[in-house]
Amino acid sequence: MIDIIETFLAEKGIYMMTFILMGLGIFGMVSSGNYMKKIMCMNIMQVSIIFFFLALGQKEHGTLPVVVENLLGADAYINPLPHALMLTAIVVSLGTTGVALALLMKIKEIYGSIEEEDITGKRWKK
Amino acid sequence: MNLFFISHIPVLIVVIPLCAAVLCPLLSRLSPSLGKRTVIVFLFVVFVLSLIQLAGIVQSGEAVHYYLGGWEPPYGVEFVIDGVNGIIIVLVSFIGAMTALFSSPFEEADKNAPFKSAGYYSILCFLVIGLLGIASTGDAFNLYVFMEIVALSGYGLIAIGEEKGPIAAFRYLLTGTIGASMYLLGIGFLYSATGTLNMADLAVRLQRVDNLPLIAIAMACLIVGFGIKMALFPLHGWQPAAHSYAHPAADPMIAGVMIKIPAYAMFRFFFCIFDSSLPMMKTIFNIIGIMAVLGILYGSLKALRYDKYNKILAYSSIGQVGYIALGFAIGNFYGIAGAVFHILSHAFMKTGLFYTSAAFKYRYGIHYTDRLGQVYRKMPVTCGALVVLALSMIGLPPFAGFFGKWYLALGAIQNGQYLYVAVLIISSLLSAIYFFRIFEKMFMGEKTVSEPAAPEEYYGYGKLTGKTEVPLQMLIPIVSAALMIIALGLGNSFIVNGILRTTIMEVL
Repeated sequence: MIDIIETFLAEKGIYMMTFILMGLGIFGMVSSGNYMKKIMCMNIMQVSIIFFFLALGQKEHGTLPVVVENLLGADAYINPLPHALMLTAIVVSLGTTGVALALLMKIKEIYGSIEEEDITGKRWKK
Repeated sequence: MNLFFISHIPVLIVVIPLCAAVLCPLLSRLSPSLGKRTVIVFLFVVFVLSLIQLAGIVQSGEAVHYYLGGWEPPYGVEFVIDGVNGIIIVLVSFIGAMTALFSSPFEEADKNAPFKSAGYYSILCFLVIGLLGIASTGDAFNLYVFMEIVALSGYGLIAIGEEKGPIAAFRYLLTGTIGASMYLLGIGFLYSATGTLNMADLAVRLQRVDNLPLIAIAMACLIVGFGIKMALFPLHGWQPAAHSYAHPAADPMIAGVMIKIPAYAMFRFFFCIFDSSLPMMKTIFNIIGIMAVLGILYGSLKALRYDKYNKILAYSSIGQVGYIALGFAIGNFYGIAGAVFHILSHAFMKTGLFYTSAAFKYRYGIHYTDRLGQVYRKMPVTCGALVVLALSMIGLPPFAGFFGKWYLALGAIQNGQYLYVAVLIISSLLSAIYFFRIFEKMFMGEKTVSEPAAPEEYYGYGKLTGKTEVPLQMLIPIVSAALMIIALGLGNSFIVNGILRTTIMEVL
């Protein structure tokens, strides 16, 4: 039994971690009443997807995909494409966070608060 | 030289508005109206180019492939334009150019802020770029980037709208980011199974993948991702506020086109990439069908509840997006053709209706339908267009809205799914109710429409200038939307059989 759990964690453990992280992010976005916290949870969710892609590109005994001396076979290098994709995704998430913060400043200007219950006037927690 | 130019049209369609978006703030420093005019002219150039491209595709009957930077797929990014997305590119560039033209009176009302208006045109241009990019691209990750360009510029245009704009934009940002992340996760699963991101290559390699749970999870992620972006029923939470409070001039583009293009992307994934013989495909289509049916009923019923013109239109959009999803759920030729035709016709209808809504706001500051009394005496052309567009929304025969529903119903009957036909009829009746309520207010309202007491509520100055109809820059888009509805309705057979048939038959 322990063997099964150990092999599962060794093979799929990193993916489980990313999905737990993603679940935490979405849960936080839904449950927290403060808009700043919502943005933080959004970032946690985005980071979890970046981890997912990076874990895909990884393999055992692989090295950096840079040719230093002589070219080795494809087995010797890790897959660089997920890393390149995630650089783009990081830029996108940076842009999203920037726009979110700008909107938050505007909301603070209009409503004087960034708490959900102050803005909507509804107290639905507890 | 001429041939060289023609062969680069697919990328020029995306690059020309990009130039305009970057140039606009710079040129506005020189002269306030120069940047704006550049954007309008460049977008009209794009419209002409997209027409040339579509004509070429219809003539040759083959898809156009453009390799960016000369890198051949599956290693490089490619643009693939066939009948379905060729016509969608024409739609986006036409409405984009019209909306840029439509916006200019709003900006002139705000004379002392040239740089602010330059920012507006720049963001509008980025929105058009993103939509054109989603429609053109043949690469799954490239689609994600364009989707985020659309989303980010959409947040900006919603936030600069009315007072509740920033909060609506913020909510949309949170929900939209979940949608985009889900899409990214979905293509992550597909990439892990196939090692490619090119759509045509994905379709070939997925046939060799026998890990069915993985494909099912990827499909679920994609349904959630596209569902949020196109406001499909249980995932529509952001949509009514975002469509009601966006900037009135940009609202036609946001409400009319921004939710249709993810629907097109859904078509690309579920029919061109996934193999239709997969065992879970029937379940997936049934789930989409249930979402669509519930969305149609929910949107139509909810639209009855509101007096605010924009809210009625926004909730009716939830129902209309349901029609498109219903076409995908039906899944045969008539279903898909009906869905694509409905993407076209509903884009013009909803854009046109939001143009009229913005026209009422511009001249009289009207947000609620009960203030529309006798407005047809003051704004006859706008109201005439509104009647055409609303009748098309209800689905009366000579107009385009009818033919979209007709093809959907044909497809449903062919598959024996009579529930879908019943839902189509019920929702048409419900939309008749809420549009006839608007007609009643417009033509038979007792209180005659008048300028509001507070001038900051509206943009135009009808009382000061003695004019009652909106300026020409706004009339051209309104009338052209109504004319396009009639043209689409009369030319429906050419569009479905001449343009869409070859592409759809290939993927079935």
